[in-house]
Amino acid sequence: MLGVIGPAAHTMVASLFLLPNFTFVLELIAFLLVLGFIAKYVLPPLRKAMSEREGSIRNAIQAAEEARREAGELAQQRREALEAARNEARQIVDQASQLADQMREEGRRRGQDEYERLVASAQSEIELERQRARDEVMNQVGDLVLRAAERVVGAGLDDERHRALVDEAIAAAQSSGNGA
Amino acid sequence: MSGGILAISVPVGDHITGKLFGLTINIDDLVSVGIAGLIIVGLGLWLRAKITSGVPGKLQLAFETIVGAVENQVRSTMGERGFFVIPLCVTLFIFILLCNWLEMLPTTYPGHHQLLPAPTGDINLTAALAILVIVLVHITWIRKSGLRSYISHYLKPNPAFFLINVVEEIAKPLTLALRLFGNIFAGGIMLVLIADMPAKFVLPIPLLDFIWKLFDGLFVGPVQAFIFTLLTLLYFDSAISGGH
Repeated sequence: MLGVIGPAAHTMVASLFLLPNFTFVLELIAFLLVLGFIAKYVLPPLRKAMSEREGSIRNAIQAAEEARREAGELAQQRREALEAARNEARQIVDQASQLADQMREEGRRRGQDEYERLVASAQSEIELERQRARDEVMNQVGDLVLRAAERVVGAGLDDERHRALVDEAIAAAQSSGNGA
Repeated sequence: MSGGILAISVPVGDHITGKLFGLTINIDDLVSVGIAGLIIVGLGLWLRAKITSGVPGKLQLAFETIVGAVENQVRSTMGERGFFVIPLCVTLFIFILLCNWLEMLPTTYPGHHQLLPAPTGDINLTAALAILVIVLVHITWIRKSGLRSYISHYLKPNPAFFLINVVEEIAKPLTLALRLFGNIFAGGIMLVLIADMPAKFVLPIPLLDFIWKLFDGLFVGPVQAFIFTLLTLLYFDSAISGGH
């Protein structure tokens, strides 16, 4: 058997143990002192710290949101700027190659012109030269013929008159020569 | 049974008493209350020295958990107008919890009563706390809804219920005090019983003692502190909302 509740002395105390004694008052005072201490010195700084932390966490979260939004905007801006730069570069390259094409074309054209001009001037010079040479030759031929005819005829030919005759003969020979 | 009777003398409600102004006082309970109070004040001072709105330490976290829980409970029942009870409830919880935990100290020896009993296992402290709470509840009630409304609540739903209402109001502090007292007192009796057990039991006494203290400390102590605080809160809530 366990717990046979003991001797009479204890039961007597036990009959009284539900009645408070003066300890009640002292313990009440002790509790009130603790309550006052907690209420005055512990809770205010604690709740201040809690609300401050709450505030700072809220601020931190807001700042983080803000930063993320800004970062997103910046990234968007960077993408746009990059895209714009790329477009511009492409445009510049296009323009440059267009310009190069133009210049090449123009250079080619100018070279061609120059070439043609040179060729033309050379040809005309050649032509001129040939003409002059032929004229010269014809003159000399005329003189020779005249001198030869003088020998053959044995008489002096009137320079003026016979010259015209010779020239005529030469022209005839020339045209027949050209015709041949 | 093996013939002999195992008579264990359990000193129920026996205390080391003394006299102050010719009045009886329980010295052991007063010492316990003093120790609990000093521990709380010490923790409070330590907390004040280390308090930070940055990352809290363990002590601050413990305090903040209690204060936060009480604050949430107050907010959800009474709203902001009930914030004045937060200090009382926080102190009640911490104080009762520490007093309950004093029983963990190994001060129970065979043949002795507890040298340092949990003061909540004595009717003086629980009655003091319960009566303090109920007096404050009634004062709050009268201040919030006026004396006329306060008195008329005893006559609702009709005057025939007067007696029942009075009994209900008297029962509040009684149950509040006796519930805490009974639970912790029973825990103390268990400790005395275990300490006085004959050594022939299967489980060695220190192990039994340890198991019981584990149960008492982990469950009974915190639960009783919580219940006392919660009921305090509910009584204040009912007082503020005019007895409903």
